Amino acid sequence: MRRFVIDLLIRLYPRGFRRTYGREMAQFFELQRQEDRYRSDFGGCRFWAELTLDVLRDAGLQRLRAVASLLDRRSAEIEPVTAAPRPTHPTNRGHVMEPVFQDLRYALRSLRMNLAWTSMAIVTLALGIGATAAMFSVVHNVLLRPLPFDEPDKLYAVSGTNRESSQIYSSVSFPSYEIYRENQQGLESLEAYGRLSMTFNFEERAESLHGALVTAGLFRALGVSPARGRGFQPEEDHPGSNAVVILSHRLWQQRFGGDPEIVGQRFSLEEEPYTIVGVMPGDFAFPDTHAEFWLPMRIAPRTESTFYLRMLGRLRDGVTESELAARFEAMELEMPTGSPGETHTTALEARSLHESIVGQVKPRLLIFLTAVAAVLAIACINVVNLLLGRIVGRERELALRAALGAGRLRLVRQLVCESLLLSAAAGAVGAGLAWVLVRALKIFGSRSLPRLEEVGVDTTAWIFTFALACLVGLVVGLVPALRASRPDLNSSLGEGGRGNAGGARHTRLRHGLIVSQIAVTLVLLVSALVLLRTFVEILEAESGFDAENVLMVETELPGARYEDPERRRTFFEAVLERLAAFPGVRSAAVASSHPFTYRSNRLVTVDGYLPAAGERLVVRSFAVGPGYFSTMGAELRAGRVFDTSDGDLSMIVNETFARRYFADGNPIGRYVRVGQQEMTREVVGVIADVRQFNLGSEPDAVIYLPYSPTVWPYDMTLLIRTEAAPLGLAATVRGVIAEVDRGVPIHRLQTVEDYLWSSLEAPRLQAMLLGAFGLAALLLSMIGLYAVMAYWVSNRTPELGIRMAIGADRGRILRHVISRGLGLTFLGLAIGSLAAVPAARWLAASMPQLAGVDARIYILALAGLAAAAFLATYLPAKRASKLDPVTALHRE
Amino acid sequence: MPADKDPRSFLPLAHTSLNILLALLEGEAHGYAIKRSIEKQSQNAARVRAGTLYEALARLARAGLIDESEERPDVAGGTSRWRYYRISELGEEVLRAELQRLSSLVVYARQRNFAIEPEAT
Repeated sequence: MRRFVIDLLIRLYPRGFRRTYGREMAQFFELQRQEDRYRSDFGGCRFWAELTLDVLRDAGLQRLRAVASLLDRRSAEIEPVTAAPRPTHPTNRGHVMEPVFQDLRYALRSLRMNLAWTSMAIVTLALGIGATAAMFSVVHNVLLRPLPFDEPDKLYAVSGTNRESSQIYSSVSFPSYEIYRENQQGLESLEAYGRLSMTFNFEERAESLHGALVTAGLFRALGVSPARGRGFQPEEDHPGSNAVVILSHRLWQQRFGGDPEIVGQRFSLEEEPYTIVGVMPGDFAFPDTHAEFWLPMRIAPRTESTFYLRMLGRLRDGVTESELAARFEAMELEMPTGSPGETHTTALEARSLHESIVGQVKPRLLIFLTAVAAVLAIACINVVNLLLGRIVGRERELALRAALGAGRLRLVRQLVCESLLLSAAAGAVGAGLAWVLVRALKIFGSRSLPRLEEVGVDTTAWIFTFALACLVGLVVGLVPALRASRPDLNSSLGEGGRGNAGGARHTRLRHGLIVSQIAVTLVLLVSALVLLRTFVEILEAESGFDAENVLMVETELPGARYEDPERRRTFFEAVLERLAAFPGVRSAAVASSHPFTYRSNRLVTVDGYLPAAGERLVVRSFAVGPGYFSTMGAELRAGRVFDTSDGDLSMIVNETFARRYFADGNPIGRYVRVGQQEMTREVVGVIADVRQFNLGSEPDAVIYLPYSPTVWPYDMTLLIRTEAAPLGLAATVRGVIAEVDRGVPIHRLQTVEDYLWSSLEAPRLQAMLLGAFGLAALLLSMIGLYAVMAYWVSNRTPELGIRMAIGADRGRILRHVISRGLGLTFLGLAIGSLAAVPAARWLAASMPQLAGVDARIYILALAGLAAAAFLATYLPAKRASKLDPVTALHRE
Repeated sequence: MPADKDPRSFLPLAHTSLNILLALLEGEAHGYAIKRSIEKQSQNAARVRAGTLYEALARLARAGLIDESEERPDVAGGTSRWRYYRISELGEEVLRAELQRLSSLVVYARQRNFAIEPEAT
């Protein structure tokens, strides 16, 4: 990475210099990095910042000098009026490209003459190109690039389906998987995997690692083999076989120092020794990038009611996708439902693995790409307008050149050269911007976009940026060039050469462009506001508990030592007791997980509720300790909370559960059977809905079971309500846990508020991105409007002078100009309003859970845009009204 | 080579060029060593940017004030990838001329009672 950045920086130098000194400079920078001055805490940052600035300055100066010397050398040969036909220059240069070079040099000079104008155009285009290139990188990597497996288009994610209710089961139990595996045809093999995390003791410190349970054939199905050692053998899937593990490249490097003799060594997971049989390649990330180790199915739970396996397989040679679908659909398998003695008829369904990973984000990404393209279009329109304005000013020069014999092609080429140079510079700046934006997106979007870790600005993205810059240059240059290359010689050269007689001709085009710009901006603003409102609505939604000042600590007890449920209880009771004694702790409780996620899905049978055909009552279940509801600030809707007398015979449900499964909505005193347990539980209370999973989703049906040895899991979350800022207690909590048992790892320690905030990443990112695009569009189109109006005013100075001379007062002039600008704006808003309706509909169709589009959003967008437009026209209008009539008339 | 050139035609020397020639008085050196030596000369007051340094080296070499040394010292695992530079005869003359010019400036200032040495505190 370091080498790469250094190489990239060196690339900024002119080629000749780079060839001679590039390699040496790379060494130079490496040595420089080790200097004492960069040893401090932020030395690294300082080094890179200084290096980048130094290189930008040096390389920029060198390039400028090179250009300057080129121009000096050639200046004798390039007259500003380069209309003379080629034959009069029987050149000894003779290069076919010479006229093009000449155009380029001339273009460069004319751009240098007005640096402010040039940089304005470059920055505008760079914004559009950079944002588009960044979004393209993401879309290309996430949606278009094949998965990093062998022949990835033959890989399918497989789910079970219920033949009666068409319900889809993406997670299945181990016994179900075995039935599917034996009966499927069309795939080479059906494999399964499930995520898990385990405790790993490393140098006296317990640490929790994410990994996966995989069937022995899974790696083969993916077409990936271990970089060292071997894969799993089929017999290793059976309970009682040898304990073996395969490590990720990262774990091998970080924890075992990349030991070449790693295969065959043992290490302990959950205090059981495992033999390391292999190490996967560095780029292998499955099921996701967090996986640090893989185990065969040896320890997989084999109960019928634990649904945790996902299935995939590779298409058998000679079988097409539609044949596979047909075979799967025709299956009729009797499958246990998880409830004792019950079965249902199921089949399989296949979806391409790629689709199953990225399918959900596709519509969102396409919306972002469209939005960013709209911003680019607005930027282009601005530059077209800038170029048109410039060309109008140069009409006399162009006419003169035409009169001296320059062909139309020559004039067009000359003007397009300028715009290409502009867009090339903008492309370079934009590429840098894209790199920064992708970095930022990786920071802000890492949880809500899959495969984001694979995203980088790669060669394809550079090529795209380059091509985009060329295209933009052509489009932006061609429109004004074609117009300007037909100068009306008489009007331009005559009339005392005022030079803007052709202005009126371009005015209509420029104003038309402004109108379309405003229309597009309105559509973007409406979309951004819809997303923003969705986000605000989520924030304001009742979450059903009091998240302020609650610290959550996720722990997991090492399996072997805590096999006895009584030991698990003693551990947590000891921790809670010690915590409660600390000042600043208001209350503390323990639960199987915090309220917004779930670990276990349970199948329930509700007394008196008749399920529809094929309906499975799968609900989220939590085991909670004493004081949980008061610590979380949850509201009791009916009945009571648990007390110490409650055990295996009581439960509490949430409002959704009560509403959904009890006709009268009153479950108190009614009975529910959980899973395959013999006895039923009595519902003793109803708790307000807590929004699970993330705040944006609808609440699920939930049951709460009081902790007892049978439901006491290994992983528990401590919830601690504090008097003041909860993070102040972090060290205390760690200390207490270590005091009770040094071997218990802490997975996560954060405030509930922080957790909620990060769970809102997806809606936040959407609102942020579209909001940024909307703002950029607003800013750009207002700059465009301002420029056009300012130009219009300066063009009309004589007319305004006459108006003033014959009695128009300043207020009248002000109104005259503003009404012109607002006229354009309102036309744009009218067109935009028409376009915004289908756009908002598309948005709503692509993103579920979106707030509705109502009149308020339109009014806000319209009013905001109109106000900004008023400002953009007011400034030129004010200037017009301050004209001195005498001076204005003199311009005539 | 422009050995017959008038050394004074190069004057005044650019700041970086002067520093480089001074640094090369210690003997052959590569780019990074020159940078360190310049920083030492100035008691770490000067910062030398790689781009400026190599551009100046290229310019000095073109003008014949320094030579690129043919041999590269052996380092472990092959020859060094650094280019080594040494001051040429012309370079020495130019440096001498420049230093004379500078010292005549010092003399000029002193004759006008301008205190050059920092006041003792």
